[in-house]
Amino acid sequence: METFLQNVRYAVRSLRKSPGFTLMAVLALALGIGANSAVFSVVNGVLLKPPPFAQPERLVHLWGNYAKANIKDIVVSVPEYRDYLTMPRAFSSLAAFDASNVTLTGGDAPERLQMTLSTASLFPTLGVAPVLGRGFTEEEETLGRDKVLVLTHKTWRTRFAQDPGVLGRELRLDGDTYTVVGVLPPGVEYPADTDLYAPLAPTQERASAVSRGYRFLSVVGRLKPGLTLEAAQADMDRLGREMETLYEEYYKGYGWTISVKSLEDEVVGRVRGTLWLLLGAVGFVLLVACSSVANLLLARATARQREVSIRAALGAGRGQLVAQFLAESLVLAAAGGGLGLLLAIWGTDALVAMVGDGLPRAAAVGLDVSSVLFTAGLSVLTGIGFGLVPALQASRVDLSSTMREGSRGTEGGKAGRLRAGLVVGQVAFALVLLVGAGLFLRSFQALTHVEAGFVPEGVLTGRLALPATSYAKPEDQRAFQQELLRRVQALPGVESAGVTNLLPLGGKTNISFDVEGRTRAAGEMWPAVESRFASADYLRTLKVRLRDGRMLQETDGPDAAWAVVINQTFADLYWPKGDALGQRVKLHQSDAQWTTVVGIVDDLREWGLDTPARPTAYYSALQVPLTHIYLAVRVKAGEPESLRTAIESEVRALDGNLPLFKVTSMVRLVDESIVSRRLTALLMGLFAGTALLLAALGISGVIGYSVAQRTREMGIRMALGAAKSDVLVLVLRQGVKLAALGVGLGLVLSLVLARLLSTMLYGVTAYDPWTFAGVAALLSAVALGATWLPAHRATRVDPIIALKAE
Amino acid sequence: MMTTNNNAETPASEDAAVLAGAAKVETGKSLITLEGLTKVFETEEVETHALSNIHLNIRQGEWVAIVGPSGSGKSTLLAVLGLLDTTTRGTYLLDGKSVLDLSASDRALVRNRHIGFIFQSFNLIGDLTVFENVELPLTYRGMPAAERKQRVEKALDKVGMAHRARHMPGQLSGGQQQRVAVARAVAGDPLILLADEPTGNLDSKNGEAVMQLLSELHKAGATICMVTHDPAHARVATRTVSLFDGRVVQDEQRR
Ligand SMILES: Nc1ncnc2c1ncn2[C@@H]1O[C@H](COP(=O)(O)OP(=O)(O)O)[C@@H](O)[C@H]1O
Ligand SMILES: [Mg+2]
Repeated sequence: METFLQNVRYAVRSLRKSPGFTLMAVLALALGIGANSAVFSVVNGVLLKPPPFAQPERLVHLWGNYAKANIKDIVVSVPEYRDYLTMPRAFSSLAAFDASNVTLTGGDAPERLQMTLSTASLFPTLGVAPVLGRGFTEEEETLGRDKVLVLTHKTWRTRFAQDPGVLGRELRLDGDTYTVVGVLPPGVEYPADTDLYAPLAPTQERASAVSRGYRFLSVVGRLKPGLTLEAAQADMDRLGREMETLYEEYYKGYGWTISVKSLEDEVVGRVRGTLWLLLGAVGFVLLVACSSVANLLLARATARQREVSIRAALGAGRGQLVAQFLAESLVLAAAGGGLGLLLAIWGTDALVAMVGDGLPRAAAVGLDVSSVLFTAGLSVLTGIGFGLVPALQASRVDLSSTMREGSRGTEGGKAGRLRAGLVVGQVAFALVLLVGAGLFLRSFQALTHVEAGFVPEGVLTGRLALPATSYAKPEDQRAFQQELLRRVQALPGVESAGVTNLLPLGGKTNISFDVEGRTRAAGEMWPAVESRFASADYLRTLKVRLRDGRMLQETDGPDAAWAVVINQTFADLYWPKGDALGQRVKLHQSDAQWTTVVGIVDDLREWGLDTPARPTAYYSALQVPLTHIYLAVRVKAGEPESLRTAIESEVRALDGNLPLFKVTSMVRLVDESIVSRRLTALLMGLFAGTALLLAALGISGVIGYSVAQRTREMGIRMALGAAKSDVLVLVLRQGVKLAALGVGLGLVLSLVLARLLSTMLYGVTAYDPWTFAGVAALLSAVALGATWLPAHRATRVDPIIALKAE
Repeated sequence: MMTTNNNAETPASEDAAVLAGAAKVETGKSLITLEGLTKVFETEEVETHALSNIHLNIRQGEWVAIVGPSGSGKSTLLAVLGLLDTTTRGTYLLDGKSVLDLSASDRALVRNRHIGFIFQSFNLIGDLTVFENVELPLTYRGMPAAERKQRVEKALDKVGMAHRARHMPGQLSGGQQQRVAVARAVAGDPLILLADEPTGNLDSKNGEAVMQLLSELHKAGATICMVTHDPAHARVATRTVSLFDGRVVQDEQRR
């Protein structure tokens, strides 16, 4: 221990004597370690830390599927949930919930909160107990008794300053008065972003058999102890078949199944691959950084051969010499790790800020004890990793030759090859990262050029939710909607405006329907399509192209015959002969009428830019009025944001208790929908750029060193008549050789690793030849550039050196 | 014969050649003409006149030994002759053409075509074989491979090192290395061979052998300009130019 401290002291002193080297090494390590710690913190928070649920591995999510129509992961109706409750033997408990929004009034201004309506069983199923008060009772799952609230810890913290007296407090939500009965433990926000919970109390209609096709509930379950996912799946397969026979008209022939998926997968599955990938990628950056430092150390070791041989002559054993050198690398690593930790603190926040809503469990991400331990461990490991080989190399002394008078430190062939090998490795790793970055960049590019079916530029969007208390009757809802659009359309600068129940890229609402004149024969499928309820000008506002028939009109009102516009995919799927216009369909909704297909429009990416269009129907919002409204307004010219205050004041004038929330441009929504892909591309680009820079420095360093070593040789060659270009080519060739080896190795590695990316890419194959070729070309060019400097230096050698004695 | 007259150096040597009858050594046309050549090194306030007002004429077929105490300017003179260094003043005609105002790349060209270097420390390139070392100047000349091969083989044959063509310099003794260096110098058929203490790093036996080799080359017609410390070696040459403090203090022609 004492000798170790002694060694560390020597190491610090020796490093301080070469500040340039020390700075370079510490910076490279800080970059590598910091980036790794930042990404690790995210991975740790999102993937590794156990969620705040009891035995989270037993939690599952249940989804419905119409396998034959290729419609997957659909939410369920109240009758279906009740089926689940009575039939399966797999779960110790089940819960259903519906995430919705409410308006909180009574404060300075009305506010939107995310309220999850859940069965009383949700908290027991998740295995969480309120830290204050109680959860819900089954009796509270009935209308009239359902005005009770459980707050998330965050809401309690941010709105009530953790006041224990919050129990019994009353809140005005959508015009109703709710009483707070409980507070959840910290971190429990499921589904994501929930502010408060209220009991799920379905209306008479939603609970009745007629609403079997009205699906809006998510279902979570807790597996019985010891039961596997597969066993539960088998159980639900059986249930699916039973449902098929019991309710033929809903399921028969559509390949109805219920899938059981791990809740963990549901929450983080979307980002898991990406996060591990980023951690892997950033690991490569560290490898490159370590080779850089190892390279610097090797060069330094060569320069210190004399010092080493003196130490050896004084009786230092090989082990002692290695220990001395290792102490230096550990000091470097510690300094790099410390600086890296600072970088990571900043980087983690920056990462979370950049992904924003795109990252599940973002709140759990932070630089905590495990991140610090990770950083420390990584530092020690890298210190040994990049220090050991140079230490072993440096401690090999040849006393007789190095002690001779006047002998300079010349690099042995072995150390030279080692350094060349390290550079080849750096180039290879940099290439792998560049290929990854290139592929993600091309995916991102492909996404931004996707034919979305609408024109987002110039459109401002916002949301409104009509509380059932003040807008109970469809007439009220309709009147609000018409008056809102009248006022907004009258604003100067507004070209057109429309409302819908869901904007493009926004998600799914599957509603089943009948097609007139068709009976549901086995094997046929028309169970459900994406359903939108839109005002006359909504599709026009998004500049969706009409292909056939007409758009919805003002005249498609409550008293007129019901009309629907469908997308091309819908038309092709159900009326492949092209006779969709004039056909009639009927929603599975009690007040629905037979509805005529009046128009066919282009496909819109309703689910997301990376998801192909699905069959979609646009019903008239005058015939099926909206309570949850998305407003879309197109400006005549300029920024859509310029309309914001004018629209807000119109809404306020219409109803002072109604906030217009989530006001944002459509372009922004499009951007947000691909934010995680943008981030992946950006981070991969950043990592690849760092690796590229380090590799370039590595090449430049190794070639520069070799040029310095070969100064005399260059002089001799020039004395013999070598032109500058001859010397230039000689050195460049050396760099090209390293680069070519590295690029070759990197290409092989990339081909092996690219397969891992294939599921995360869009519009580009994992083996995209353009990316591979482009990246190889870029790297070669950079390598050539990095060689140019030392090569140029070599041409400036004075040939007279050949006349001087060695 | 002793001459300390720098200005009269050129006519004197011509006279000497005529007077000596020059029975065996055929002194041909003038290969190198230096007039008023001066080289000043300026380092931190100190001006060193390494060469002062040198007049020197070297004719084809001559073997000139340059002697003088350490620091007298021998290496500097050789460097200027070999176009490795520039001058401060004066003219230098090589084969009748002025070469002092050439660009760096033209100087490299002249070195490559017309000058053969033999260094004290051999200066073979360790990573190249004997063959490749000899080939190197020919490669820079852009000579086709077949002709290079032929020339290299001839040159190695001349110095008796043909059997070591595939060896690396590290595997050879000093004497052998210097013979390879001589082969490299003559392979390109230069106008003149410049040798800076070619025996300086060799023991006497190997030194004699290299001198023997130079004699043979001279007999075969080579023009040689050689810096040496060893009076015995200087005597083998046909002419001895003595430098002192950057000036030619004696120019002695024999035979
Ligand atoms: N590059 C240089 N810079 C400064 N002075 C130099 C340089 N090269 C040689 N000299 C000086 O020029 C003089 C002649 O040197 P040199 O030609 O090497 O002598 P010699 O070869 O006869 O020993 C010496 O005084 C030496 O110190
Ligand atoms: Mg000298």
